[in-house]
Amino acid sequence: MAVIEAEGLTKRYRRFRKGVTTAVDGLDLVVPEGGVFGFLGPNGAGKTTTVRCLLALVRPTSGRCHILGADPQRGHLNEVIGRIGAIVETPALFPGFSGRRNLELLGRPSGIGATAVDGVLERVDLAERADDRVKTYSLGMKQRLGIAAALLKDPELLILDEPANGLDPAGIREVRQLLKRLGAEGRTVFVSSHILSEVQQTCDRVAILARGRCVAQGPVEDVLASGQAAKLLVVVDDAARAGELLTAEGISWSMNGEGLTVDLPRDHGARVTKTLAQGGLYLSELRASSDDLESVFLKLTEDGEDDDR
Amino acid sequence: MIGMLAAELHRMWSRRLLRLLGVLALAVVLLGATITFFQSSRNAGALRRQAEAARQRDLAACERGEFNLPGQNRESFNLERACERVIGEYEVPDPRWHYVSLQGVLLGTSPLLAILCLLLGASFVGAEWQKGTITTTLTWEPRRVRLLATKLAAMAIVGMVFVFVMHLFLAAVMAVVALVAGSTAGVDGVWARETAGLSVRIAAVGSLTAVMGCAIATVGRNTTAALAAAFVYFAVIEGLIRGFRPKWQPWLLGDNAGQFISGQAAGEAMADKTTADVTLTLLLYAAVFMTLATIFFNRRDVT
Repeated sequence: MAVIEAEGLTKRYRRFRKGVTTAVDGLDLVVPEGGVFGFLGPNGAGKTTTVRCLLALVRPTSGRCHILGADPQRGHLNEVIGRIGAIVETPALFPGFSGRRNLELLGRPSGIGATAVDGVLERVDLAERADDRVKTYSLGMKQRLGIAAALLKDPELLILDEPANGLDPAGIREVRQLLKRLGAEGRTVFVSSHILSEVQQTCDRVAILARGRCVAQGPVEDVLASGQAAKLLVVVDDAARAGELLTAEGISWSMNGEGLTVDLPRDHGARVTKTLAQGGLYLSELRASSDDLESVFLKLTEDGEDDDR
Repeated sequence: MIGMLAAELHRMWSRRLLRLLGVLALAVVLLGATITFFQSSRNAGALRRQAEAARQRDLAACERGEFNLPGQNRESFNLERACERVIGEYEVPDPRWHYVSLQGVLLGTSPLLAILCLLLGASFVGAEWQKGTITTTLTWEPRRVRLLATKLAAMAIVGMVFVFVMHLFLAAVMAVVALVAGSTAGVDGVWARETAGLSVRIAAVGSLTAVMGCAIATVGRNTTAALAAAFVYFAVIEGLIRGFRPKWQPWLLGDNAGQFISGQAAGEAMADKTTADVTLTLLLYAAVFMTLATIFFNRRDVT
């Protein structure tokens, strides 16, 4: 079952003197239940706008979306909001109140008591500073307090918009571990981020957003594979001679530092081996060119960093 | 809804501005009471003696003919009697503070309290937009109309309570002044009922201005914009209307609020309006502000 669905979701902002900006452009997205789902995209790709549409903070120009089966644009979000914990951008809490007071005030209308507040503060390692004013917190502590606020409802679905923003490496690691734990508990964690390593290390599935559109989505491994160019890496003693043989066979190639990059998919290795062997050259190494998520991401989104969304 | 209202009231109560304004207002009341105490403590006997001495000086000057009374050169003219008649008795005002004049103090401070309530209302919502906490709140309660209604209700309660607390403090402090150095003459059940009624009417206007501040800040999403709009309306637009379109005066918020509190018409243009009329006009204003705020809050994106 999908916990989040978007179909043709489009949001255009009309701004005085700036004209129309398309933040989300016909987005199709399916987030299945359970695990950690990464919503990846460069700054301005439309991630936050999508999150805002899902939480009924902004009204889509067209298209539709559902969250836990409810249509936020028809006012049905209220039916499921108790099962959703969310942070949108930097968690905004009252700076003059203590962390504990902020959480108590948020939870009070839903009947969430002091025990639950203490529990989430403990969970995000803020119990010792719970009675200090939020304005004295570091950015990392504010982020953790935001996560605590999102966890307060013990939600099935957690939507976290850039939760690692502004965190130091130790803070990032803490958040990563927390997200993994939450995902392992059976919750669905929807994390938007532009930090690729985070998504690669934390998420089971990923959707890549560029210029308001989803350019790839699925399990992280599949997206990595789909984004890879059809290339083989060939290491041979006489690279120049190997190039001549490949050209004669009609195979395009280019020189790289290690040897040759051959423009063939990974299942065409035998053809390369045969061509070079017939020419009396024997391979030292033949492997598929392997990209990490960063390379895939850059390939998929290379034209997508112009607009500010 | 009750839980939300309680949370909003707690949020409001925890705001530094409310406490700051409260403490500031209480300090002003204390200062005023102290000044009144010292003025009220002046010795009435000494004042009477001073007045009598001045009278005797004037009488003597008159009898020396320095006043040039008409006909004083005639033989039959009795200068002494004429001087007594002309100068008469010197009245010595009672310098003590009379508790019955508390009503005047309440009336005089009502515009200030209304402005403070407007500021509280505007800042309560304006700060939420400025800090972005409204987004967080909406991820807990997405029903915007309900959320705004709760905020407006909380603000109405806070405005009313704020005015009542100030009045109670003022009444208590001034009672001490009246008992120690003033007079409580004229204070009876009728007066107490009238004063309580006046306090309730001022508190109602405080509540209304707090709600208005809240509503304007919801539309403008900013405290400063709300205060600027209120200032432009009360200081400029109402003044211009009174000057150039006096026929419209019965529709002015300030004049209606003034008449609602004091029960007295502010000028000829308001003479035909009854208390029921001004109450309806004020309720109409409140409804318009709340409706506009609801429409804007419900329709606009939260970005």
